[in-house]
Amino acid sequence: MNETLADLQDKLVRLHRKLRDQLAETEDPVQRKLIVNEMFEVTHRVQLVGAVLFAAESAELDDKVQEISAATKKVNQAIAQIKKLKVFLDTLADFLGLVDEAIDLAKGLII
Amino acid sequence: MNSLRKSKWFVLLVCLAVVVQLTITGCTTVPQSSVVSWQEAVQAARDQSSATFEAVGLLTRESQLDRIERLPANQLKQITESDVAPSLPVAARRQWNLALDAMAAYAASVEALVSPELPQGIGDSMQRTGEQIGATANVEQLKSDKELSKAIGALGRQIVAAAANRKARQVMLQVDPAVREVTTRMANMLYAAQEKTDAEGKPFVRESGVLPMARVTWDDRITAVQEKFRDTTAGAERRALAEQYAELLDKQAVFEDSLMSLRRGLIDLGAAHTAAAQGRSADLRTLVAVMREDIKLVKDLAESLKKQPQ
Repeated sequence: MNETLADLQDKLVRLHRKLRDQLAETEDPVQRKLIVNEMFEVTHRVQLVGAVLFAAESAELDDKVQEISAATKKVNQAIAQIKKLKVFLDTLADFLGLVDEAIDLAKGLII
Repeated sequence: MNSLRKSKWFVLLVCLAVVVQLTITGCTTVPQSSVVSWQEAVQAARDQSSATFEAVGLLTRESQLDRIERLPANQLKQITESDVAPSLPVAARRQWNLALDAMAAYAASVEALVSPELPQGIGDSMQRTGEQIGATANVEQLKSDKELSKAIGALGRQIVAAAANRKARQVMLQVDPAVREVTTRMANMLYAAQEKTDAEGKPFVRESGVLPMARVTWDDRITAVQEKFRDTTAGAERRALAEQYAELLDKQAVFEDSLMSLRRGLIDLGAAHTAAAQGRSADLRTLVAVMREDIKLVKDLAESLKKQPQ
């Protein structure tokens, strides 16, 4: 967590809350409009800081995501090994089938 | 012939020893159902975050336009990118999706490794090879009408299933800290609360993430309607504004609930991965059902934000 950005966002949110509280205690329409406009300005900053914070945190995901992708590779290698064994066994069975045919043919020729 | 029979029994004994060894050392297995429901939950989290982020984008864009409209021309002489910048940058969202895609691909691979199809295929091939040896070498017990080849096939299936599951567990345990860190970080990107003390030593809770940002944006919308209400005297108009106000409060609540549910979902994903890696059952079907329900709510909310800027 980027502490500085998180602190700044929290401070801005608190400022926004204070302005809202102030609005509840203000009757003058001109003052009220100023406060509301100020709330929009603070919100805009909260959004800007929020965007930077989100980007900073997402960049931190990268290393760990690569670890997960490396794990996927390991699992896929294990699957490939098992499939390779199956191909070997099937080839062996096919080969033996051919040997049987050759033996049968040889037997026929001898008889 | 005798030596062939002896070697056959030797092979069988070795196989049996392997099975016993795998059974003893690998008692804890990765439950396939847990991996399947984990994969579904990752997909649901991706869908829910896409819908949620779209709603956040629409919400903040409207707020940016409202701000521009409110600002006097002399205060905002020229418009810049930061005035209308996406609240969740595109590159960051891409990174977020990549993280979920990586977890989905990983889950799909683990599911394939622990699925019964792989060992079944090996078992069938071993049985067929055994029968073929029986025919070629004229070994009576191995011939296709006898049980031995079938037994060899079943044994092969069990050996491969145990080995595959062991490998899956080994990889899952190894990658578990990374999965936990990714899911926790993503959850905290949505909302993080941390107990702190201020300069005067007073304790407070620091909030950060997408949720506080969305909350103040909703608050502004609600405040704008409240201000309009103060300036309106006609009963019908006041009623319409009151309806608008209530609707906004409802939407804010739906939005915050959905965001927090996505956050919980991500934390549950991390915990469920640890459980599955440790061989404990982790059924996330209820979580997935809740997430799917939330996706629908947030999509409806996004549609209403598109249609009725308030």
